[in-house]
Amino acid sequence: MNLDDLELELRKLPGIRWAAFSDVGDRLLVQLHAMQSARSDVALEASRIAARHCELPISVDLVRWLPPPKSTEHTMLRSNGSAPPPPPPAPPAPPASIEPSARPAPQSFPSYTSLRPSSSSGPSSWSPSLAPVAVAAGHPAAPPPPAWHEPRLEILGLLTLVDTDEIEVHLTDGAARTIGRASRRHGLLGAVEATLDAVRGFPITIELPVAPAWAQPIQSTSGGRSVVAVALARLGREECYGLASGNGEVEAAAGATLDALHRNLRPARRDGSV
Amino acid sequence: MLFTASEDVNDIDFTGLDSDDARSHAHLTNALVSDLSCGVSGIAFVYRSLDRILHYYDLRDAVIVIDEAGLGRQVFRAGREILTDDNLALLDATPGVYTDPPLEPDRIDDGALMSLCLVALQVDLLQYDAWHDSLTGLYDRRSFDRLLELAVARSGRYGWRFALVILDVDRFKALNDMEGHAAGDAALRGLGEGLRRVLRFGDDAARIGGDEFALILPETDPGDVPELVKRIETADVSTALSLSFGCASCPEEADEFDTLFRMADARLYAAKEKITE
Repeated sequence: MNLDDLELELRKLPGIRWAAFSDVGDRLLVQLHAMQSARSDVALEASRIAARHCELPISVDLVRWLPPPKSTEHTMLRSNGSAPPPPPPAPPAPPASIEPSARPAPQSFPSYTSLRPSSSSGPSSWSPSLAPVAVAAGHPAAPPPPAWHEPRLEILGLLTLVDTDEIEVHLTDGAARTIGRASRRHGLLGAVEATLDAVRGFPITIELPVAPAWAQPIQSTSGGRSVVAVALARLGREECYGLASGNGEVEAAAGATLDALHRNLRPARRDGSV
Repeated sequence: MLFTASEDVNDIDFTGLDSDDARSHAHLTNALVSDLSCGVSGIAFVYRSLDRILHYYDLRDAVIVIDEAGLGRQVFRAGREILTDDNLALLDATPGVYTDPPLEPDRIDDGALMSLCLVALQVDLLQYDAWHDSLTGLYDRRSFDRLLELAVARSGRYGWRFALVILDVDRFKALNDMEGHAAGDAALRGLGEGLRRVLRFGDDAARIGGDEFALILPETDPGDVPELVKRIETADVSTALSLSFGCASCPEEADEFDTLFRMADARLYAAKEKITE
């Protein structure tokens, strides 16, 4: 595998501003950040390109940036187009991009300094203020991640990887982020398995072992949304059930899995706190 | 002296320069030019340059942001690190060189560094364009000739077998004449997309003529090719195309470049004649 050729091809995709790679066990993680000019199917295209260059299974982690509609806030969309929950309010951010000669360096990235403030390069095509994600992550006054008993895990994104025949579910608890995978051949149960796989990546323990029991589409709405019910089997206990809607049955099944966990289990953090 | 490539920059005498900064610039620039002349790819050069300034100035981190035609604005970070939420702000940085800890502007000739990186990436882009068909993004005829030469040589040396398939779009001229060249181009792009979807890792596809494509398929039985072509025809639903093909296997049927290609081409021609009839 020639990583240079792969990176060049990925960076040639319109709107891609960042490409990086990491070996994750037996697969290659490709991290991409795409600006608003990126095509809607850029994740699929990237996975195809990567598959041509690499024999390993590939996970593409795509972060799609969109300009703020009106205010100075950014919206970050994951590859399935669903927006994450709004970030916690951050204190007033220092203005603008990294042009330290003209403006103070952003607090989230305090120690970097441009050696050559580029007066000739016009304004960034991206909105000039900092992304709230970055501000919240790096600012000392940022509020702590939500407690586990509050609305807990959220789906950041879902990917269907044709090349590896996998469903990939990205979850967040407001601070950390995990990725779960399962075979696409398992249909809706694959979405449940991938969601449980992602849940296991958080620093929590689930009090009882759970496993997918069944997943059943209930209805498709006129707005193109699907409603799916999911049952999780628990050792020595009755099944627990969840229900959710989503853009497509896979997303709804992942949401229903979280619904089942949130309503029926009382997970505790591994350090013993609740 | 400054732009003479050298394998070992320490061998060069910079004492004639009138300040530490000037000597520092000269050392680093010379090392970078040396890297550039070693034939590494542009991407590799950018990362190597970042690593060099990291070690040269004992930095924790270094980032370069460039804005290049054909690539747009791109951010590179030493060590090819994954971007974390703590430094997402880099994505919004204007072109320049960023270091942690900050360096005084006089200590590094970032203008030279930026220029060299731009040249290296420009060469990458030119090379990419030289080996790829601009319409479909597949390999072009020149690349195909090289790939087939390599495949034949490997087959002769190691006994590896492969199938050479030449594809042609049926009634492509009629499509161009009746629906215009834009429709013809769209059909070819769609076919290129279909090929990328269907082919396995290790298969090669090239556009070798107007509507002619060639595939090099390692360890493929010629009997499997008709099914493969059907899958290619239906891979891109936006362009329903009918394809004719000719296939020859190496080394069973031929073990030389010209013979193999002529055999596959003759079979394609025979298939086209059947369609015409």
